[in-house]
Amino acid sequence: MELLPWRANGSLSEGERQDLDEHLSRCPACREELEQTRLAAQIYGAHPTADELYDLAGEALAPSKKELIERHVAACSTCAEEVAMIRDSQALLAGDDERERRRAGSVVQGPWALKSWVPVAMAAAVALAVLGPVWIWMASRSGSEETALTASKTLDLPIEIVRGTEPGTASLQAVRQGDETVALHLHANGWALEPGVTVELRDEAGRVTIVPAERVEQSADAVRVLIEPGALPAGIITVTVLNADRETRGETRFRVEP
Amino acid sequence: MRAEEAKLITRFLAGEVEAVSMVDGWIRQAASPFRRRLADHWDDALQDVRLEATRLLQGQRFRGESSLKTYLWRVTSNACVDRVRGQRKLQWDDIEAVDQRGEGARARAAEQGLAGEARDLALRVLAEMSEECRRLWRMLFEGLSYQQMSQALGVAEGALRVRVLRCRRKALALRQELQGH
Repeated sequence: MELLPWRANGSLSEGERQDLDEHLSRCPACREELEQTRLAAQIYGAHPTADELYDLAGEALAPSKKELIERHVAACSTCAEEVAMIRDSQALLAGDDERERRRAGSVVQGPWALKSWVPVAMAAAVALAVLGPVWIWMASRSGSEETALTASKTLDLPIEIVRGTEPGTASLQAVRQGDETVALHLHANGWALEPGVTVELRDEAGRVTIVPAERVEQSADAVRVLIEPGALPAGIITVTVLNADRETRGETRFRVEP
Repeated sequence: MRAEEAKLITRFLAGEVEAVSMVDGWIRQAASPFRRRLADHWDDALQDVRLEATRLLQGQRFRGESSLKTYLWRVTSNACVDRVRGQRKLQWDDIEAVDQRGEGARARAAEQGLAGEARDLALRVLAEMSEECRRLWRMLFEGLSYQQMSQALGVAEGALRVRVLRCRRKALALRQELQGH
């Protein structure tokens, strides 16, 4: 009867399964064992409902339930993965709502108000770019002084591209533009950016700000985004570049030091 | 419910291309973070969501407490999570056929009748179980054979089976304790 869990997960050999089933059919005590195993499987297979995870991800769970669910998610990698996907989905909803508000003519203010942008001609920007280190560090680095990017340095970061089933890569270069502005250059390697990409910045709390279109310049294989790190919260910021279909997307992260 | 959303639902249920396309666009966006995880099941999952959304809207389950888009977002996300979970369930159905007296089926029906409470109880029990027990059962849910588990954990097959049995007993004993028996 010790084999019952493997009978349920379908991994027994044909011979073992037949022997076990035959025995079960004529042994009441073992059928009780079957029930006990099923109950144990219910316990070990218990997860919060999808609805509860949705509320947890959106910070909408009642306090009485929150602790139990949070405790489970902390110990359950599958639920943690599901919560991450739900959060990504909710971030898309927030981004979409913001875009709609923008289309409706209202002024977009993200969770972090980006300072007013002073247009800089590309040539002038490139000239400024060589002047000094920037104050953005890549997420994979320690953030110490030695790891600061210099204007001339490009880091090839792993960037997840979801484009049908084809993986892609991209690199990101951060370049200081004057005192307050940093240009993020995202170069897509081997995948085309369609006109009208959207660039979203998400902080660690999951708050999303869409970079206003006037701060985004793009070519067929690169996007240049102008941001002001001083206006961003410290910590890991996730940058997502989305094609208009919202299914071809690139994502990478950087760290803003306090 | 806002008047324009009521109209959109009516147009969607009537199959108007523009309304269907708008709702479908939301569904695809909401489901897109699950795409890689669902892999080959992606199209099936989208179809599930479309059917579920249609069923809910036909049954007037949307009451306008949130926007229609927000509501559909939740429906989509939940359906995708359920689809992901469906890929790793243990199968009891064909064992039921062996259990001719049907006691298992009756007991399970009773459990399902208390789904919410039974699940909360199970979550409380699970939170108290050791990491080793949770790991063993996670491997079972992933469909590993006892030979594979034995190899992965570096323990003899006999010892492994006893460990799983012990974890089963511990969980049920704790369940009884928490139930107040």
